Amino acid sequence: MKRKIILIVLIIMAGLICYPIIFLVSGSFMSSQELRENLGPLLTDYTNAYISAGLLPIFPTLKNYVEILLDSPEFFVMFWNSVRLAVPILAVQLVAGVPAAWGFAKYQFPLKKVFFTIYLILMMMPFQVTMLSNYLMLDKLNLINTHLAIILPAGFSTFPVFIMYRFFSDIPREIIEAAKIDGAGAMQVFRYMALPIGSAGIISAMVLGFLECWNLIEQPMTFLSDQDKWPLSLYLPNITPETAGSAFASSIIGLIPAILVFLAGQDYLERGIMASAVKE
Amino acid sequence: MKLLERIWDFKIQEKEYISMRERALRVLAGFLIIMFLFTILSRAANAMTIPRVQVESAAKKTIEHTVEQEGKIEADGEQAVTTAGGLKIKSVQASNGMQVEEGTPLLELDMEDIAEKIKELETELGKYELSISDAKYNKGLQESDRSTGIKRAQEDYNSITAEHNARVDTAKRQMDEACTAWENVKNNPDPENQNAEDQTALKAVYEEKQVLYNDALTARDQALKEASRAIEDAGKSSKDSTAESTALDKEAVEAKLAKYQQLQKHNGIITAPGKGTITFVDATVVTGGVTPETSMMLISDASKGLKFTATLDEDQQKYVAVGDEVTIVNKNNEEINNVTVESMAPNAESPKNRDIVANLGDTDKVQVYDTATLKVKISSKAYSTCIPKAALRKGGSGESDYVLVLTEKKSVLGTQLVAEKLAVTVQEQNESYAALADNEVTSVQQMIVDSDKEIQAGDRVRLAESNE
Repeated sequence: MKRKIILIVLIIMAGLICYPIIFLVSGSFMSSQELRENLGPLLTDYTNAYISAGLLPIFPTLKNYVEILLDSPEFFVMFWNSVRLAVPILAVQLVAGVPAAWGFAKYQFPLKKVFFTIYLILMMMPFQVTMLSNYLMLDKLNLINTHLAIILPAGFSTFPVFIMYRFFSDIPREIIEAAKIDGAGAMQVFRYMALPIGSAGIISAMVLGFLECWNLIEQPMTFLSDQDKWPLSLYLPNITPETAGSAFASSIIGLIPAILVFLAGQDYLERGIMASAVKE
Repeated sequence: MKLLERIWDFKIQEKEYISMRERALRVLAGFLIIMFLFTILSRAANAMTIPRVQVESAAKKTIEHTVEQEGKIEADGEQAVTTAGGLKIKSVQASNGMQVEEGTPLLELDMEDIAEKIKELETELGKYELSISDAKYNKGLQESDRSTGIKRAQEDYNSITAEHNARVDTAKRQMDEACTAWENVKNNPDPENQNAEDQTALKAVYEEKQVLYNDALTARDQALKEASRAIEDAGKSSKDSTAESTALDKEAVEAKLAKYQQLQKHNGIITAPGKGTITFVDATVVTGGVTPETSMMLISDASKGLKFTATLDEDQQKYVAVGDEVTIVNKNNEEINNVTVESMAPNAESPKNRDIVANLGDTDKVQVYDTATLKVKISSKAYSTCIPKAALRKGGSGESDYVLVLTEKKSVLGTQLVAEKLAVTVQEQNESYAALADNEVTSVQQMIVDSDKEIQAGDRVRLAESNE
């Protein structure tokens, strides 16, 4: 009985949490008339009337998707901008982050602890804290209003290093020593031992990295002044009753890559999140 | 058969196991490909909906006002071709618009008809002559009768005068004798008064004679009055102008005959009186027809030159005035320069328009009936900001005219061209250009002069390929 009550409570809570997503999907199939009726009090007249959000559209329509996919080249500019940001960021994280994590995990060098602490502190700092200094530095480098202003800070982010560090740390020292006895050099150990064994960590770091940079909002808003460089996360900042339908549809389309990447890296992701939860 | 066997033996292969990770990655790849295709599609749709525009910039120019109006060439004077009416036409050589020289045969008349007409006229003439002679003879007779009448009346008068004078004399003498006898008796009175009765009787006789004398006088006056009236009546004569009027008729017939004889002399051929173009041929002038009493045809008088006529509308009138020198261009694009405008009169049908007449003088470049074009070019002062007329757009009521200039606007799709409304003041304009107030539009601003779709201020546009 107790279990059943807990289950019902959990289902209700899960339903509440999932409701925005369900309404998003349902709203993307609603006509603008229906959306105006549902969201009118929220979007137009700021009266005390409540918005109503039906779970199912009364007259389902694909108009919003057609409008987004065929009538809004701006959407695609932003979509590919997001891809253009996400891919290099992940590449930089891969190229720079993996050796860094391997170094921290398996090499002893002076001030290692100090550096690692700085890494942790930087990881803990929210963007707003480093925004000004980032801006000044990027401005000095003439990178403001370029995609590099987003790619470089995110590519050299400390968070993936930290996740991969956890995975590399778990590789037993004996395996590496055995490889060394067999005559493997440092590069060979990294290439043939570290990467395959730590692949779960690398993938989970990449998946988390992708989800993070796919949803970047503050950085593009701060560092990119030209709208043609903005990523999808900044599409339709002003939602009116007329644009609500296409905003829903664009959100759904924007959600798809994130879901697919999540599904692709689901197994590793859980381990990655667990790894990041374990304190040093 | 083999194919059928293969279809019969076809077995669905067992699906190989695909992990969720791989499936998600495949779907992601497919999703990206689809997104790529939709990107191209939406861009193509966008490109199709954005109007393509042609642009031009403002420049320093003078506004040229060109008046071009088609008109026709007419003769400045005309001469009529006439002949005696009622003659049969054997053949017609002339036609409307034909160029003729002096002596060019225009038509040929029927010689037999002319000869017949001459004969008829000669007979008529003979009759007239006889009539005149009769009238003259009758007039002589009348005159003779009158003088005889006068003479006879005079004679009657004389005899009446003599007769009545004698009667008066006799009555007077008798009256005087009676008077004398009575006075004698009266002056010698009888002492015994025996003759008193005689005296009364004599007085009665005297008084009777006196009455008779007075009657004789009255009768004479009456008779003389009547006789003199008879003389007056005999002197009166009736007016008779038969001979004169017949003579006039005869003269007319003689003139007609002379014409016919002249035609006969020229074998019935009528020729052009001078050089020119035939501008009118009477409808009756056809082979087998009859010559009209009025003019048969009109020939432009080349010696008086040609004129250009056209009708100008209100706008065109502004740039042409009487006395101006204009250019006339013929159908071969040859120009006749320095042609003076002679008159500009209101058009009969629409008085706002004006009929212009320009004297061409003697020229070989045009002929009567040709169409030609009047050309007048007037240049304004130089304006620093002239734009193509196509760029100028009419504002709504109460709004000034405006142009749409290209401005760059940054958007998600990059830097885009947007049509921006710019109000302007037109100083002067012609069919091609409009002069604006100074510096209203800079020379670097590009104005939309043409587009493949209707555009409004604020619309996104793109340059047509010829402008890129």
